[in-house]
Amino acid sequence: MEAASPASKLKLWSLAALLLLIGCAVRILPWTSFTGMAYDESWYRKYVHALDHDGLAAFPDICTAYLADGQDEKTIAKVPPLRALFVTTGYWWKRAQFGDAPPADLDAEGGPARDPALISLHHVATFFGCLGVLIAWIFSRRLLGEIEGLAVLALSACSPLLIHTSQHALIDGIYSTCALLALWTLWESMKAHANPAWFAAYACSFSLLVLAKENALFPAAAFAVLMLFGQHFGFGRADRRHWFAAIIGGLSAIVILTIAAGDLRTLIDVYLLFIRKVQALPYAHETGDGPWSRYLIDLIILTPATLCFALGGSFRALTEDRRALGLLVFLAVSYVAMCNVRYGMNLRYTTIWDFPLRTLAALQAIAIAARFRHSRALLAVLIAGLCAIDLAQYRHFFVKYRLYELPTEDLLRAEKMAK
Amino acid sequence: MKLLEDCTGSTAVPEPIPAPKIIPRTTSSIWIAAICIFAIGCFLRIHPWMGFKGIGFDEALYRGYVEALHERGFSNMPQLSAAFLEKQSKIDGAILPPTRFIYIALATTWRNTFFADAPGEPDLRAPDVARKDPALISLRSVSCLFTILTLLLSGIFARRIGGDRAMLGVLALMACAPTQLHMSQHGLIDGVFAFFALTNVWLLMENLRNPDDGRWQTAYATALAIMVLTKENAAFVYVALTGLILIAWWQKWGALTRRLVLTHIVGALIGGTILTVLAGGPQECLAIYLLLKAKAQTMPYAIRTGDGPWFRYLVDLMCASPLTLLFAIGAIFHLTKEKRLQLYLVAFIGISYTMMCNVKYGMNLRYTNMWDMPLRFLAFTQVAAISTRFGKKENVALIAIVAALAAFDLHQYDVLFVQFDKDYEMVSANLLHALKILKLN
Repeated sequence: MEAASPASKLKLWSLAALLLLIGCAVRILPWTSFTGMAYDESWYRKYVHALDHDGLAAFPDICTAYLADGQDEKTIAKVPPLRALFVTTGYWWKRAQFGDAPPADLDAEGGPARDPALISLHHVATFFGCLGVLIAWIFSRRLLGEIEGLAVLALSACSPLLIHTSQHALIDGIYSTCALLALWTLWESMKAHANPAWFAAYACSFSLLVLAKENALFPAAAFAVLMLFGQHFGFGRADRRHWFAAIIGGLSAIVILTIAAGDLRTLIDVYLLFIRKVQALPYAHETGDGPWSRYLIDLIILTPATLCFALGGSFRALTEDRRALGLLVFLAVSYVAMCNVRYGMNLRYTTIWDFPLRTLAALQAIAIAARFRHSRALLAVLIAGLCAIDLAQYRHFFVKYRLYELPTEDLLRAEKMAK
Repeated sequence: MKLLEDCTGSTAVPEPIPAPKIIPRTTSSIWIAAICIFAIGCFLRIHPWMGFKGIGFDEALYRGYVEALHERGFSNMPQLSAAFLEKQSKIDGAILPPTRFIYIALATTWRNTFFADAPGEPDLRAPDVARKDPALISLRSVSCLFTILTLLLSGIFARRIGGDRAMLGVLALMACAPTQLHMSQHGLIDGVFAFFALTNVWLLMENLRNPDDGRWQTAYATALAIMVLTKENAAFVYVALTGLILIAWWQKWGALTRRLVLTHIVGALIGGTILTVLAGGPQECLAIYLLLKAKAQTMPYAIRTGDGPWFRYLVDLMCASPLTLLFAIGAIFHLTKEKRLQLYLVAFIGISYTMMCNVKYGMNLRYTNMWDMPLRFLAFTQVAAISTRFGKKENVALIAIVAALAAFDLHQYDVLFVQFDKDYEMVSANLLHALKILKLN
């Protein structure tokens, strides 16, 4: 695909602005039909309330209470309070927007929609969702070029999974944005003669990722592989500074989490308790099991056309166009790690693959369009078609069928493949 | 009309689907490898290792037809059709029609040949009845035989379009295809139908390559007629073949002659005429299909298991053979205008897919058996493309990847159809239960 001429720069920027606007609009405008409060949301809300009551100093007490609750074998798994980024930003948002406003009566009609803490958490998720679209555009533009950047932007804007995580107080969109930010800054820092600021940015973004969710382990494993073998994949070359940045970033996050937990023992106990409880959770046994191909099956149900294009793009990255090979490696390494978690598979966790998948899909669409005379027009049609299918899928699953949790069974029922 | 003009000897066909003008001599080691793979494929089909040991709903119905023809002879076909019409019009659900003549006739012939005097088992619920009842054994034997023939045909077809390497690769992948193995282990028609569908796809290609060759045309017409006599799904394949002819003419893939068009029409007409006679007349024949269609649309089982979006078959195939499907999708996205043979196969899958995914309450992975070979050929081409990156070790990489795909497919068969022994239907819910993605309550 040709690079844009200076004369068409304005058009490109206008189009990018329009796509960003659309991406933000579909995340901000409340068009999900599930308006209740889900189990995880209720716990995030409680943590925000506790912080609202006693300030950030309440974190150790929350962790102690979490551990005490877990002592009872009858209690089931709850989201850990040490997903500090989400809980803390939710608390700050609440303070900024609602001040000392008391919690709403959840039993009253429309109660969850009026609760300050829940609204704040939701807004944080939406904010990170919008931020993710922006980062996806910048990263893909710098990695691949203007046209490719626009294609990725359009596909990311209409991603049903990312729209879903922006429409609720769900952590997965925040986690994916942090992972994307870390991936981008890693790539920038692995370029020859990279500005030292990128190392600091990588350390910070990696720190944010660890603060966001314990699943940071999976992208971290992928980053390690990229730092070790990035040169072979055309992703850039890592040296001691990258490892140093990652270690500093990770350690600083652990220090923050330790301070939040009160001590290191508590921090470890909170995570161990969470893992133990999740492994014993009947819901996880019923919905989180499956073979390695489970995520592929889930993704093909949710976003069939884009996944097919991404698969085509993956083989292209392996054989012809190696520009996105690093992203494919990121995806593959984290996939291998994630599909081996017993009773721990859920489509929500795949938000970190959204950018690599959409980039691969965009490159495939560009490769197809390039074979024809009116390549730009055809590319626009292809990308618009993929976006339209994805938006239709969002509408189908999350508006028409009110899905919130995304176990395969619910997806199948929404598609009438299981009755 | 130019389409129907006999263009033999003219310059209207500049670049037909490339025929292997000089096929390099196949070495004895390749033949030995092919025979070994074929033998493994035969063993996997003949050896009874399925999990579901009972008798399926369709199997019981086929058995009834076989027993009826065994007792009263083939001349009883019109009476069988009349009985079907009477019974079908009275019940709510749909039962399969006796007009699936080829399968029933072949099973009856098998029964007459090998179990002439043996009586049928009186109680179909008795344990191990499927291994004792002559009609059921015959039905399963015919299914098994045709999946073996499909394996053989796949090897021949792959060699014709891709050479020796493709023959070996596709043979290996087909030998272990879980959906093919499943068809060979039960009295199901879809393996038989897949054989005739694939035969027609191959013969059409040969006819496009070898214009106005009487032998290829006779074979194509015969195969078309037999396919029509096998299953009503022949309509999908026939439309797909018609589409292929049109695309071949448009893209100048081959020589479309008047005789080929006539062969295409006459073959189907012969099949239709025989079917009409067997059904007892045109009205009866039409009534059978209309009734079947109407009843199938209101059948609770079909509504429960045959529904879904356009990508339902992709989901089902991803459950059955994920790795092979991934490679096949990769190959589809790498197609260029020059890769006409792959395009030919993709067009066949594409046209038939478009029709089959639009049948309300009529989707089942069983019906996709006819895509097994085309998908595996595409997967093989993708594997071959990747293995070129290994330089001198290209062949080692190719063999290793194909072996891994075949081994994984065997594992999938074990998971889906051996370990899961509750049912033999390949509906999405069963596949996902077998994979433990859905849990049985």
